[in-house]
Amino acid sequence: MVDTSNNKRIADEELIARFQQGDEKAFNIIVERYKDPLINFVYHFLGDRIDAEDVVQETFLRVYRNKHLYRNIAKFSTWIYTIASNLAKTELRRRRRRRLLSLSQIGFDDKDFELPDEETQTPEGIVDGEMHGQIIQKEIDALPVKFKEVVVLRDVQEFSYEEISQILGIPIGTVKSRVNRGRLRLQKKLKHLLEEN
Amino acid sequence: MIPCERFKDKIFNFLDGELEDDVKEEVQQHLQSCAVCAEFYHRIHSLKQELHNMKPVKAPASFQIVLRERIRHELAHKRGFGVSSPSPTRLWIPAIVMASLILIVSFFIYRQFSHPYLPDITAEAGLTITDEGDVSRIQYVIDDLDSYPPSVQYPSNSSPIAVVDSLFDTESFTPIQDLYQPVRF
Repeated sequence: MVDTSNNKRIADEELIARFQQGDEKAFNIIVERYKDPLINFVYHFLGDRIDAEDVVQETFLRVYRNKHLYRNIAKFSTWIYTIASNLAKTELRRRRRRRLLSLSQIGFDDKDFELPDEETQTPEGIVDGEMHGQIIQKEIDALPVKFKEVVVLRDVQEFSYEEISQILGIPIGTVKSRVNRGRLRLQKKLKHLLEEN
Repeated sequence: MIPCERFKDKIFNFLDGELEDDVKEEVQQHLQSCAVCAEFYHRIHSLKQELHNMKPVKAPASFQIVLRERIRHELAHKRGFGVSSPSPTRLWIPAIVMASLILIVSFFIYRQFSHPYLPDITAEAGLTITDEGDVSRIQYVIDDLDSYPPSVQYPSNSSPIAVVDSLFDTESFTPIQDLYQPVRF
């Protein structure tokens, strides 16, 4: 799951403890260590890079502001992913409100619900890895939030079921059931793409 | 394509590597004998691979610079100086003080150059002030009326209106020099 690069020599929990004692360098290492995995997670959750960057910036600001709230009873990664996940969900709710507002103001706009152009889904096009990614991301975006968050955490970020359970604050059984239901939905939507493999 | 109900969850767990050895063996045997479940297994396996191989999105190079700037801004704001914008109270208090001062000064200027009775009396008496002389005459009478305490009630036939009326009665116009005697009620 979380990138185990050169900074991993110092445990996350040790870094946050140092930061709680005023060591700003420890915070910089935390940012360096988590910025990419968090942006990857939030991007797959929101489907928008700029929004993902904003959410992750806000996540680190919250960590900076509320460093004293972290207690060494949970893994630091669980704590920071919980913050990012909550902020991403808030962003999704904000978007939904904005969309409802714009629909009520200007009427039904079917552009938001357009299906991808059939011509762009030719076998030649699908061979392109980026096209694959876009198609999969589009289907992830279309999943209900409760499935999307667990599928991204499990199959993209590769967290264990136990970690996902801690991040989202739901029982492991619920996590497993949601991951499987999310996968079932995705495999139905991506049937043609998966059959090619 | 619907996999066997008994094996559906087990196939997921098998793919996640979360099965005990004996159950794992059972699933492997089933996959060799059931084409539908085998197909299902390959699809989910392929999906997991696709999700795993998605191109990772990385933070831009400016990410940490922007974050540092936001933290610096927040710290400055917390301390109440530097780049922080003035709080609303800092703007409202001088504005209210200035507005009050303007009102007080305007009131004194108004009191200095006008008399509260003058417009009312002339309007009620239906008089038109045509020259400075008219104003002086009316002002003189009013100043005299002002010398009475506010509690004193004017006699009904000697109200300020009646007095001013009499001043401008064309039939018995009082010479201006006589007006300099205070009017008695």
